[in-house]
Amino acid sequence: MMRGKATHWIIAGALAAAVAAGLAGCGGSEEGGGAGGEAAFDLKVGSLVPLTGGLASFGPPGRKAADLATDVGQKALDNAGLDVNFTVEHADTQTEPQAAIQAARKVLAGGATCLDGAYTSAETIALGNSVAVPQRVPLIAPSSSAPALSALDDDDFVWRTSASDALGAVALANLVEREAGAPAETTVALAARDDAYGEGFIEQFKTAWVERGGGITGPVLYDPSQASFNSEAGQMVSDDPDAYVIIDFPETYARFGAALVRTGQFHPDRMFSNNGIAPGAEGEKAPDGIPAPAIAGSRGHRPWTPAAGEAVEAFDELYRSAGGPARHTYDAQSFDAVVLCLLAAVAAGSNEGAQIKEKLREVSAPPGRKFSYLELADALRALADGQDIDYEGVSGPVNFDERGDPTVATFQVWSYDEGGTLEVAGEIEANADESR
Amino acid sequence: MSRLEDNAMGPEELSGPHPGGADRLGDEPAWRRLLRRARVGVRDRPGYALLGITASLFAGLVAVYGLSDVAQRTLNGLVAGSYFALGAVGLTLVYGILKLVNFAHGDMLTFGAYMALLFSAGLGLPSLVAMAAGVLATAGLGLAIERLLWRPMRRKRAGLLQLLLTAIGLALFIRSGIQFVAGTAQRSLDVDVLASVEFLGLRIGTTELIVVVVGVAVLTLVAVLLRVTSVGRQMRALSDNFSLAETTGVDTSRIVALTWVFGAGLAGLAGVLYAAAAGSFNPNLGFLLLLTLFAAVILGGIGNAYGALVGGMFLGLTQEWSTLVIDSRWKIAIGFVILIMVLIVRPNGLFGRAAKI
Repeated sequence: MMRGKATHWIIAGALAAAVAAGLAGCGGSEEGGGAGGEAAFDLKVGSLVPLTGGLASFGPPGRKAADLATDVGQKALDNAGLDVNFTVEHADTQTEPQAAIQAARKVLAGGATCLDGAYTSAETIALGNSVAVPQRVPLIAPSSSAPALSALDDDDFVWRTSASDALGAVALANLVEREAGAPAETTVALAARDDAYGEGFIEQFKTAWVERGGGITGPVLYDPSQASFNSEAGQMVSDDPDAYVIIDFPETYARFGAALVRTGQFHPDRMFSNNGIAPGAEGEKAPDGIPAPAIAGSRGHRPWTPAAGEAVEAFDELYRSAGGPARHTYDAQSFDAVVLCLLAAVAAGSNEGAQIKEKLREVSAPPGRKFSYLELADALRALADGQDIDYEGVSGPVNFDERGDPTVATFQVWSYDEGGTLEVAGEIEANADESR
Repeated sequence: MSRLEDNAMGPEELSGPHPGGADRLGDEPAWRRLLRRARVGVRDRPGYALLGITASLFAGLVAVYGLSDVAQRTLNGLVAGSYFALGAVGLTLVYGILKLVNFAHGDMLTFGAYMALLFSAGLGLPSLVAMAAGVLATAGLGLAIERLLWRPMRRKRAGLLQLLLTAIGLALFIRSGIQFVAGTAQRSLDVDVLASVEFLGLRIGTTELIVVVVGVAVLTLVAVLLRVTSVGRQMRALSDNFSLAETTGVDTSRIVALTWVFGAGLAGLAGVLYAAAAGSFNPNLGFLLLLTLFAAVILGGIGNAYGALVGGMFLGLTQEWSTLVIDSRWKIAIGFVILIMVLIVRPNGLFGRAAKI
């Protein structure tokens, strides 16, 4: 008796499942793969990492984060009962646009349909124009910050999980306002190396500061290859400004900073900067060649993951326990890029690039139920059921805007102490909606 | 008269600026006469003309921007100019005597700086000794390259193009070698780059002051040695006419080797001093400077030691002065604008002579 009843239940369950599958299949075909459901496909993410060249230190941590995201994603897929085979293929971009294009072609030939990379803005812009748009494959850059990327005519194929410098400049203006004083009473002297990175950021900061009613001098832009920096240093300190904002890399700042000290009128504790001159970990000395008196007491911010939050702590634990390279700036952004590829593909029920890019904004931003990567299986189930979700990344809430940039970003605040040792003190947030 | 000598007299006048126009001279308006005189002056007395131009530039800037700003930039310009002049003089010496455009010169500067680093940080010698050793090591490198590369090439009668390409290859070889051994990280010599001295409200870094003084002293010494010593005279003879000098009994092989020792030694000195004053350097140190060094050499007149000194100083001054007037990002470009303007007026450089056929 009991046994017969059980058999009936099993038959009824099997029938229900078959009907549900049939319906889902019909729905899928009618809506052009919109609901996903039982769709079975292979999804390969191409991870374009700089293992050599100028950003070689970013490559291995970025690659490791992408691998972790793939593992986490495959486990969640299995848990959710979705028949998707999720893999990743890495290629070295050599921190060179031309090599990055070769690397992208290699992973596309290997079957990748969503890209995590590249790292420099120059590489990402080249990839956008030569690979992502013509080949119709979405690309999510984890570390490119040039404002030019926002304006790229990319038909929604180019995205990034890192904050644009426009957002970084707003965050730096927030920091200067907090530490140096109200904009109306604070004149800031601006200087930057004369390249896309330095000039791009300093112009954004200038806009942000002037909009708040603050005074500025400069910007003094200098060629990194010039022989002497004395005149530029003299210009910088000439009107005894209340604060300095200097956007540079260590190799040039080692010389510009020394020239600033030689003027005898430089106050390093009034200096603000960004990640360019603070690449080290907490407790490390200033990069080689920068004399301590040129940097002691300076403050700034750099892109970072929020320090608190369940997903952030869990990611930290996951990353550290996996062995291999240590945490590095933009590792969480690489992790989020890979997870977003998966979420958008499952939402689209397809591994086609053109379908994936249609779903990226939906799965990253409100409305919809919020999921972190810890509830990835639930998120995948919700997507398979045709619901809208809002992925909350490890690097921040992501929330892609209409240009494919994150709307909100968190920055870590750093400072150098008297001996030139890097200290980390709290964080500062910037919201793109405030800046408009 | 030799190319390596001060040639302030310039070529003798063969014809007026308007050939056949002498009969109209009486009618020409005053401004045109002035212009013509200025052109003749610039052509025949380039040294005085340059001094006049520099002085009037200085006076004009002082009138607009005030004395203290301009004086500080002038000092900065002398610092930059002494880097250029020190680097350029070895380059022009080698060209003047051997007719070789030494693209590896910039990387010889780098070699000198890294040798000083090796002797000080690596072997623990005191800074000054290490720097002197770096200069000697670079002179040694120059001699070795002459024996192993340039002499065999000359014996095989390599043409100008082959020599030029070889020099470019050698430049890459030296730079890559330094990168291979020392890595690409920033390095610094154990020198105080933060100290500065103040006088009359002007400031100059202590190390920079030493570089300017040593630079001017060494360049003057080189010029005097070229003029008064027997080796200097033989070098000038080679510079004027290589085969004729050989025919008259000059031991060309020895003089050429000595030229390399001097040229490379000066490159090493320039590299050591530049690296010390800059405070931080990497294997691109000399390569990044090379284009400006060529500008200084061409500005002064190719192959002319005084020309390189004056050209380097003039470039340094105009670059730093330009930061008063326009955005400092154009500083390097200003150097080349000056170069083009000078070449329009004097196609062979300030102290250069027209090539003889």
